[in-house]
Amino acid sequence: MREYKDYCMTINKHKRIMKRIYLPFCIAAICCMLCACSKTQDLTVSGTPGTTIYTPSMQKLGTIDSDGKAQFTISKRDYYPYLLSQQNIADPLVPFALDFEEKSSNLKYAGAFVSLGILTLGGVVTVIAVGLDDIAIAGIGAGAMLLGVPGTVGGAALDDRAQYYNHFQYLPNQSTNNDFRFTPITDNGFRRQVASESKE
Amino acid sequence: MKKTTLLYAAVTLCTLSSCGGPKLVTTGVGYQSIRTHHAQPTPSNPIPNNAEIAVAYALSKDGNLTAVVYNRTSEIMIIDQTMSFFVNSDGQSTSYYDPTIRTTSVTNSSSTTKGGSVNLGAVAGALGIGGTMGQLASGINLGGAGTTGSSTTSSTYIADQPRVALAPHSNGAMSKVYKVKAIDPLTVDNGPVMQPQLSAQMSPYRFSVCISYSLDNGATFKKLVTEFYASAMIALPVAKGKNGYQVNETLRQIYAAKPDALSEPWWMLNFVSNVSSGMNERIQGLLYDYQ
Repeated sequence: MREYKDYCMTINKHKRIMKRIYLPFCIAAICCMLCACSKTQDLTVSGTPGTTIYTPSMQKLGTIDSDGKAQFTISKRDYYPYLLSQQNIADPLVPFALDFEEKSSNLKYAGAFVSLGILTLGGVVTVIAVGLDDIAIAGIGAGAMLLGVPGTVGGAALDDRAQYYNHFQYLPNQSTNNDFRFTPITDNGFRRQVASESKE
Repeated sequence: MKKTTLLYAAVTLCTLSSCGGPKLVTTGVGYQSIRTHHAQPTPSNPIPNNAEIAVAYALSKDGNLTAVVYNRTSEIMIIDQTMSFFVNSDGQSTSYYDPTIRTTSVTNSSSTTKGGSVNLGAVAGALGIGGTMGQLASGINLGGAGTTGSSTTSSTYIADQPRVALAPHSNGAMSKVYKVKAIDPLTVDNGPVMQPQLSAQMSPYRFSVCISYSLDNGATFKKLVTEFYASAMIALPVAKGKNGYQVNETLRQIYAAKPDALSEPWWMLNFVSNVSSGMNERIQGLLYDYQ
């Protein structure tokens, strides 16, 4: 009978430990999912085949294929109000704006904060448990710390990425403005006479 | 008790989650262009070879005007700053000479074998117009320093000078950068603006620069007066549809209203946004004058 009681107590203890492991694991897993944010975004730009797409600082992003589309990736760190397109090297660079939509990053920030909480709590529990020589609890604390790391690290990077920081994302399909018939200016200004020219 | 705890948790989570910066909002797109009263040189109609002086004007998004003077002759050119002026869009005239200035500037610029590039005076930053001076020409042959090779010129000044000299076939930025008060990125705060073709008379503002120079060691001075005016001002709001902010549609409306928008000698496109990235404006072009 006593053996059975001991057995039940051991089982209950294991269940409690499992619960302690399971709960932070689940929370941390959710937080990691929330913070598992991509660093880049794929864009498809349609336009005249052969047109080259550049960033405002003239970094080449891609060239529009024969199917009238160019696909490339931009970093979520970067905020581009516009990109530039150029059909031929002698043609002017034509700005086209990037359409975007609001996209809240609040859940990602919340996930990052919970991850930070788990990390901190895990650290505190580990320190206390080590002091009390409770290896099992210390293990749980250390586990929680490990689980909180990815979400915390991911969260720390959120502020560095314009799209998350400013809660937006570019629409996946954009288009250039090279189809416009741009015209040269009519300069109605008077022509300067150079001194020796006017004497002649 | 449990409900209170849950409420606290929810409030804490909401507070913590409302992090990051402001939501990106683009309210409008602005376009403006500037011309001079005289016709601008073009690759097909360049500055005549016998022009003595050429000046390239660079304008920043905030209207900071930098003038770079090119001495196209084989003589020493003396610029008299006391007789050189900037006349702002409100009519206020300011001399390029300011005896109260006490500063030290070191300029770095590229030049070639013939002549050199120096900052013509006292104030640092006049060369902050992006890139090597030779590259400013962009197809317009201004004479003087070319684009090949490079050297560094360090000049130290402790006071402004009434007269400064330019070596034969050299160039230099005028000593001061003046802000044209009327130039700023356009917004739609006061409603849309649609003035795609403005003549000099219709222009809401004008400003000018007068540069006095001598090629006979200061015995006689000539003046080159360049007058500027706004040739187009457009500002349109950005529509926010179901699919988000239709910024490019607004830009296309500007192109439709002004098909020669990209051919203007100087133009600025600006995206009115609550996020400043340093890329909200695109400026293209320089304005030239010669005599």
